[in-house]
Amino acid sequence: MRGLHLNDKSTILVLRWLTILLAILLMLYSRKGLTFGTGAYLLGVAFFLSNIIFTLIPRKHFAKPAVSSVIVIMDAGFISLAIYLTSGFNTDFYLVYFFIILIAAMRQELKGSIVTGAISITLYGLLIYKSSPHFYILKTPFLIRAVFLLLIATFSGYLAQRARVYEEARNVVQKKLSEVEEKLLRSERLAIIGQLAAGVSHELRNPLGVLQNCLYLLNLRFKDADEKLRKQLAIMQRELTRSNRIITDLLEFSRKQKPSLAPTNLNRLLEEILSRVQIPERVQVVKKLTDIPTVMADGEQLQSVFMNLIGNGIEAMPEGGVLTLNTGQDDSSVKVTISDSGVGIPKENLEKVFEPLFTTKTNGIGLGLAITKRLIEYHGGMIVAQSIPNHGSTFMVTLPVSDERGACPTE
Amino acid sequence: MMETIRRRARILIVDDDRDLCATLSEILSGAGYDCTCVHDGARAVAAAHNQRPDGIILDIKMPAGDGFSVYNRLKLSTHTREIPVMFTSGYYDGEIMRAPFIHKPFDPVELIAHLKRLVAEEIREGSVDERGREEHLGKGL
Repeated sequence: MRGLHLNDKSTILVLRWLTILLAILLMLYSRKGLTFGTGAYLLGVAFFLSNIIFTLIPRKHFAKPAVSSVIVIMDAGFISLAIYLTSGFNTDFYLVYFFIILIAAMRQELKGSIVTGAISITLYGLLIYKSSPHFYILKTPFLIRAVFLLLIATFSGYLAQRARVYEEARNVVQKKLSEVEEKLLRSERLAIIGQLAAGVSHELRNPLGVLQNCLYLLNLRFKDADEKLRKQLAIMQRELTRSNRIITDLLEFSRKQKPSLAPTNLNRLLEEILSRVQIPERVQVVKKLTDIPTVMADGEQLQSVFMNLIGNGIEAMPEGGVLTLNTGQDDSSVKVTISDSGVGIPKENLEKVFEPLFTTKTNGIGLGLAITKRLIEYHGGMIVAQSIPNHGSTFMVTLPVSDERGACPTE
Repeated sequence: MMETIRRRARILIVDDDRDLCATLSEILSGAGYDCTCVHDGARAVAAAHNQRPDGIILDIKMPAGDGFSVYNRLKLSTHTREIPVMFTSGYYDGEIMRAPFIHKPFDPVELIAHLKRLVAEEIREGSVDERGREEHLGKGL
């Protein structure tokens, strides 16, 4: 449930409605037996109407300082007029000043409450003087009221300020807490997947091994078989390889292997990967490799990272397109950007692509990018995805630069 | 007797998966090896002592003694210390193996190539070393 917020429109309005109620009560039960003229009733109606108008103001406009200043000044005016129209010092309407001071404290804290307190005292004094010129303004009762108004203004402003500070701190802590909670949940989920994966994989690798052996024997036996049979054997082999890849991905994911760091030349690594990956003719590769420092990294892990990103890029362009590899650097990090001009990722999926088991492919289980992200995080780096559907996607990997800086030739 | 006799190399396949043993045995037979299968660690150690195979393909996760304990016991005994061992496992966790390792499911062609580097298909018997081994085996029995 949402708590009562100090700056809330509803709080202010409740206070104003309470003011009206208090005014009515004062009118009904004042022991002085107050008599009201038309002016006082008109004032009451005006205040009532103003409150209805404030109720109708949308919440976002209500928070603006200009609106709150208008409210405070109007309220001070209303009360002063009420005092003026009733019987000056004898009326208890001055009590309502406390309300506007409280409202001001809540809206503008210490500054607002003291200014409102000062305005209230001045107006109160002036109006009492005006309504009964013979009244001696510096008499103790008035001074006591003035001092009380000022004290309440200071105190409420101070409290409001502290409340805000506490609330801000609480919000920060709460935000951090929920972040930690989310991380914990995520890692718990990952750990469960990992355990399950390791267990299932071992159990599946044996039967897959048997199938692989049988297929080998069948291939030997049907070496000279007709094309149809050979084709079916080839399909079996392909599917076996695919099953094995899924299991390898799962195991890779469940593995918590710390990278063994060594100075790594990312440009050279990318060149190596490109020479190993089968790039279809429909895809054109554009390399924009600039001189970047070496990074301390695990070459094998980064190879799997970029291999996966490049593979994804190629898969995203079934109709062909351009795959761009870009390397660059800023103060403390190097950046590798891999962009494709492919089908892109819908906005609603973009946040999920790094989540384990999220996939839109028919032949994957959604661990590729999750593993990629984890490997990059092992290196103290990060990965960001951007995409425009039907125009392509960009994955930017940022890795911290190693201490020993050395230029990394583009080759 | 210095006369040499050529025979097919004997491979001991140790795996708790009987189907895997049977199919692998058939594949290796086709590749020129004689194979025996056992399905747990304890029998593996016994078979290694009794049959003196020329090579062992050893699964890691098994009942009655896993692959590592079998390997350690083989290395402790002077009679089995020299037998080359190739580990195989469904777990691929990047752990450093003390012997050649091939993870399941393996490509039989790859396995045969690996095995050939460890154990030749044909063994020449009758050398001094071999005779020594035979004599010891005789005493043991």
